[in-house]
Amino acid sequence: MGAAARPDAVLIPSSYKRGSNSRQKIHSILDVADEVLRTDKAAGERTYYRNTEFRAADGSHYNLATRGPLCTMLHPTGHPREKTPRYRWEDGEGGMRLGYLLEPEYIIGQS
Amino acid sequence: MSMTNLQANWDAVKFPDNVTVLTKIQDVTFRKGGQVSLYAADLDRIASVAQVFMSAPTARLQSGNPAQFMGIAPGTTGTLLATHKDAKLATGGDILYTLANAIFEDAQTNGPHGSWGAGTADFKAVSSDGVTHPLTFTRA
Repeated sequence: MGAAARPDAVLIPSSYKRGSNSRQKIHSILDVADEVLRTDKAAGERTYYRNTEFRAADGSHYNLATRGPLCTMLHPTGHPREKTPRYRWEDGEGGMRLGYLLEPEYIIGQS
Repeated sequence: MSMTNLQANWDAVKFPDNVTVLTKIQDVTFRKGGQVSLYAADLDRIASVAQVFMSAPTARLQSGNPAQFMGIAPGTTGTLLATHKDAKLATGGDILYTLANAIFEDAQTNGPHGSWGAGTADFKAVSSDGVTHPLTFTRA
């Protein structure tokens, strides 16, 4: 990943999930997301993820991970550009998609 | 201490913001609310395609302090947070659930004679953008 700008979001295929119970699966996605997003836990940052209905090339569902619990794929209802993309997406390793906010100043749920 | 991969008890249950703590919480239920739509046609006798077109996330809280639920007006909207504790309180073992755009729908209270009073609060949730699920998970 080098010294490139850190992504604001990542779409992780569900095939990255590991373990036999939901907790292990949650942790396995968060482990990947923490690394890709370079979440600074020492500074109090956390990675949040949620399931999506979007599918990766391998057929599994994507999980959207961000550094805020209220972040959305699209601009939210009420925003001047509601329902339009908030991120510019690039291909990442292993079927992941890396998202970079189009408007860095507009970060929902990050404090 | 190694993590047990087991959760027990809830803490820091908050609504409608990150400040207002709900107390005496005995049970929390989050439902992703996926609704499977089945498709069949032609010679199909069993559905041959399934898809989740819509999800309707919900949450339910149960508490020994029903008055706090009765004091919330139906329609109150905010963020519902709840931490499911690691069963052995291992560091990094807690799971924090965040339900964005949670709408307080209903409250019930009951208290049979000779028993603890109890209350139930029901929530529905919507997506801010119509595609992002409002329920997120992280490590607390």
